[in-house]
Amino acid sequence: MSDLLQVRHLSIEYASPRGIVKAVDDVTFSIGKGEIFGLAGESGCGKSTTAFGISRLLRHPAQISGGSVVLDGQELTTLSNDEFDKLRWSKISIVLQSAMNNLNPVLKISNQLIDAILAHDPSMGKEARQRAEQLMKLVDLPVDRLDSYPHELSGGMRQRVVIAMALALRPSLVIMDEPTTALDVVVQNGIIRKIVELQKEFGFSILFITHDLPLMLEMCGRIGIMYAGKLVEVASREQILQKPRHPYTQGLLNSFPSLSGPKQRLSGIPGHTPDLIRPPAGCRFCPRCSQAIQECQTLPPPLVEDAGGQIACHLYSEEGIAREQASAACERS
Amino acid sequence: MRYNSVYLVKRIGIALVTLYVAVTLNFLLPRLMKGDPASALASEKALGSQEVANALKAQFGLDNPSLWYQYAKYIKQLLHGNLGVSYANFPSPVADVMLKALPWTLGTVLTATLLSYLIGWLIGIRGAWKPGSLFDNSTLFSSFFLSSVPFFWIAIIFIMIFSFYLGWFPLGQAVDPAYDSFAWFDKAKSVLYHAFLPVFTLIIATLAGHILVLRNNLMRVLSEDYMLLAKAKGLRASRRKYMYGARNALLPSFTGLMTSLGHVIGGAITTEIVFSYPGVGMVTFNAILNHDFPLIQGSFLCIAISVIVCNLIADLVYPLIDPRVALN
Amino acid sequence: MKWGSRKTSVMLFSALVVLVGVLNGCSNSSSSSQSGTNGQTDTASSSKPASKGDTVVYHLGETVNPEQVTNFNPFLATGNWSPFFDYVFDPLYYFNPVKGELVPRLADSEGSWSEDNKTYTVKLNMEAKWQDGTPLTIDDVLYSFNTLKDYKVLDRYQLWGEGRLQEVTAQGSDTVVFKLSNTFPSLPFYLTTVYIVPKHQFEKEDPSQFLNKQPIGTGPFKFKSINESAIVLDKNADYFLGAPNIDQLFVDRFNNSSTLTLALEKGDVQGSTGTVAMPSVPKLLENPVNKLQVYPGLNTFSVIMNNEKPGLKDSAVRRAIQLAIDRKSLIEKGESNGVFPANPGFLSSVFSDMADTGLIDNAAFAYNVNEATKLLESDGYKKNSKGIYEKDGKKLSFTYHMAANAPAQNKEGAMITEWLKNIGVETTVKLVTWPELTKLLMSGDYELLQNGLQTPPDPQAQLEIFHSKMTAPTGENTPGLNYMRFRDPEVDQWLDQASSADAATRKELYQKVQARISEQAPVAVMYNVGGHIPYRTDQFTNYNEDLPVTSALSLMQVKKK
Repeated sequence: MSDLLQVRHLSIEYASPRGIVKAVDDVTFSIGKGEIFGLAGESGCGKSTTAFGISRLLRHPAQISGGSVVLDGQELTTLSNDEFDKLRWSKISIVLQSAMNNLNPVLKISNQLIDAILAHDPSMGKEARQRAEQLMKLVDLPVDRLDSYPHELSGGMRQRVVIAMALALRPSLVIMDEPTTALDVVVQNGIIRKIVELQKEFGFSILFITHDLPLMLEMCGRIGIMYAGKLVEVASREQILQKPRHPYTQGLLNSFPSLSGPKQRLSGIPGHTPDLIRPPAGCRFCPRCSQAIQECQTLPPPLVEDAGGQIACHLYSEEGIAREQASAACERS
Repeated sequence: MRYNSVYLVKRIGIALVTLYVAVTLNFLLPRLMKGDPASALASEKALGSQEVANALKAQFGLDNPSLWYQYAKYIKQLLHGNLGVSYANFPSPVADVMLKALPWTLGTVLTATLLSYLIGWLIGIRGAWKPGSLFDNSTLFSSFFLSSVPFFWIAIIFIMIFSFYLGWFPLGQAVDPAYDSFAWFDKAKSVLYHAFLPVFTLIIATLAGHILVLRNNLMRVLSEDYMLLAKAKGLRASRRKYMYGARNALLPSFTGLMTSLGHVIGGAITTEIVFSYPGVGMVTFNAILNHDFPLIQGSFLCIAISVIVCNLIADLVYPLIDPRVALN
Repeated sequence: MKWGSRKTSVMLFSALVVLVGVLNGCSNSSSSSQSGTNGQTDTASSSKPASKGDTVVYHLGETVNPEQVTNFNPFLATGNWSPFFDYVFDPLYYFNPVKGELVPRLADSEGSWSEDNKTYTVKLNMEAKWQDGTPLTIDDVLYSFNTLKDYKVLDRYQLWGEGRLQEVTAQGSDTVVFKLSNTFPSLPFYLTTVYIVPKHQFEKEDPSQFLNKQPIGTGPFKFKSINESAIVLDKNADYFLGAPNIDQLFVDRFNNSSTLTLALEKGDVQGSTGTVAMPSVPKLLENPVNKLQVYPGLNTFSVIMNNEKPGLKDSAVRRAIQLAIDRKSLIEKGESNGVFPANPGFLSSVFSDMADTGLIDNAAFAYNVNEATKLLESDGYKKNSKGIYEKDGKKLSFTYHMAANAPAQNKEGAMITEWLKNIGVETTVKLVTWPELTKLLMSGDYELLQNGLQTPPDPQAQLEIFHSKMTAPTGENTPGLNYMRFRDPEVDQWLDQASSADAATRKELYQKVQARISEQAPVAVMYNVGGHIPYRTDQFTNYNEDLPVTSALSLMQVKKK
């Protein structure tokens, strides 16, 4: 599978009164053509920021401070705003968190579906309306809803509209940031099914972001785990399910109950995320890690690519494997 | 059609009831002022002559002191479009006195209100779109300053600078004193020339509020997800600014605009005093000082009708611009 | 077009600037009749000498409200601006407050009394012509006076009242005879209140309703037109006392005194008929071209006291209040020296031969706090714990009414209430509108009230304010101006005698009345308001300073420099 998107050493930071916040620090991963790639992690780990960084939707004062993003062989970070605008929606589109304000409340659905089309091809005219009807059918919505306003649709219907909208120009990459988080599980199920169905039909790649790990495990072929602005593990779904390597990944899995199987007491991950202005010197997860070894405190673990995927943990470096049983527990700072 | 008839009927019904209450209050309020205008006038001008006082009372229709009688007469006249006869301007009917002053008020206050909102909105939009820019900072700073400064102070400063010291504009009045002998074209020029400073001052004095409100609203709107989505769609900046941003940010200001328009008829008393401008504000002010009941009533009635009508229009128009508003 | 872009803002701004420039330039060139220049206060050097072709325009400024130009009918008490009639019409005699004397206008000379003093004969100047070209006839004069008889509502000075005019007839074609039912020495003063109107215009109308929108008088100026900004008068070239030197008289209308004063400072107007923002006067006078003419008049501002109210019943209390007020300070600080000292005996110094002007500076009635407190204490008042005088359990505490929305009045009221506190008299200030003040005075529903007492140009009428026939008990409206409810049988007697006495006896009787008024202090006078006329001398000269300088008779002789 050839790569559609290659993110190399991407760093995003923004200035705050207390100092520079390194929201995304040296993140590297790839997404293949037609692949559904998930980015998971707890709130504030930098997954949405990464996505917005890729699609140049960062809000001031956040900015890309280093790294490269290559989409279909084209370096994105060096494009001018006008050049990038041409790519918007036609190459990369986005589906945001399902909430009322995904859609402009004062414009009809048809208007909002069509303006994306017209922005890239003003000559479409009447055909644009037909295209809008097609899009509605794609997501199983009645065509007469085109003349409705957003508040007249249910949450699930709105999200379908947003998905249809994202596909209006047949982009290669669709970024989905928590697309079903605010919906009830039944509706969520329908939406997810539809996304998967559309992906199979049209073959676009998806960068799927959520904190709902079980959902991600269902949908995505490969998953990246982020913690405190760093990518700590990337592996296939099966790998993560059966043999999660990073202690954080393990901890995450242990935080979600299984639908079937015996009821177990959930173990969370004690502690809290570090300060991103002055992160810990070594591994950022070290203070909370029950498997930390001596290097973890002082040396940031590099992201290493191997057979199982990517891993950034001293336990899986040569020395680490040798010292699997760490005895020293790190104190919280 | 977006409305159903129930909504329409209800809204118009409420407007009518409000109108009736306003009309009645309008009748009662001046009469709460102590002082019989006829005797006061007679005492002032005719050494308190009883004959003059009685004659004036008869003229004013105050000879029958019964409140009910006066009220019935008032309502009956009102239904015939007769606002009564002014005491101080006797025998000019109130309607005539109002109509004479109204064009001056509409010309200045209406224009100034509309322009002030429009310019304020445009500045607010531009400032919110690029917050922290030189434009935004300078307009914000001036807005805070202007909004805390009393209007008459601005007016007086402008008169001193532009009329007195620089002589660019007249000290006041509505037209040149020699107006009557002008050709129609010079007449028009005279009117505009004299109206410029009052309108300009009114705009400057009221601008700040509109800038600040819209800037705030737009900044709030800009943080919504659909703005992000609009950018992601690659839409032109102007479409995002106006169809997505301003279109939503203006909604709360619309009612403010309609309310202001409703009050235009009340004139702008401070403007009229400072600029010696013959608008409705001066008429009402003098009417109050003179205890001229019919004129006070007529003026307040016009304001009440204007406000009620503008509110009704706002009620009817708002659902058309904000689809989220429920109609029943 | 990109809407919010910088380009559009620049375009709009430049359009604005261009518009302003065009209007500015155009308007300045078309208003050639403006006699003032822009912005400079020292205009002496920039005025052009009048050449044959130029129209000489004199700009007078005044606060004239719309309700004051509803009619131009000199009979009506309301709806008009009285100085207007001075310019366009003529009375038989004009009352000159500067000298306190009568100036003949339509009358040829001073009238003559018959032996029994019940008939007054006036010869007319028959050269007078109406401004529509027709000559003045004796019928016009008779008509003007008889209208007051036929329409009682128009006779506000009650010329036809009891003991006054009985009949007005013609003697030949140029003399009018006034027959009285009783001796009425003040008649000549009252003749000044009647402007002569053309019978041929008025007889077709109801004089009590006629608006007279196209007034025709005999006066030095003709009505031309009126708009929101000015009343325009043309000179009457055929005026029988001589054509005015100026071609046009503009009365520029303002609605507040501050803008009017600015216009004076700038030179847009040359004077007013009395309105000026007094606090600006000192600065105005720093420029040597500006002058202020001050003369006494018929309005005396006073602290009016309801003599029937407890506490104020005591003449000692009233005298104490009189002595507590520093009149000099009021004139200086409150009115910037634009008014005249008042006479504690009330008669205005306008009537220079009748007024006992010695009373004005008499120490017995002047500011003296010690004397005031002595008076109260010797009358049995004692200060209570709060410093307020009390007698028999009743303290000297009064409501003090004055006009709202009148800064000078309020300033003076604050000074006065402070002085009253100094002599142990407590006040509660209440602010009401001018008409309400009148109502309170008429009904007697007040204790202390600060207002002006204005009378006709007749010394008898002025002193009759203190006659008991002019009053009514508290609760009833007074038939006249005795709001004070003052009753003194001797004063009544003296005034009744004076109403028909000869000049010398009158003077004596008036002295007695004034002395009594000073001692009894039914009102505490503040100052006398006549005229404070601002006028400029840079473009125009030859003002007649023996008359009010902006009155008709003075303005007709004014010349452009």
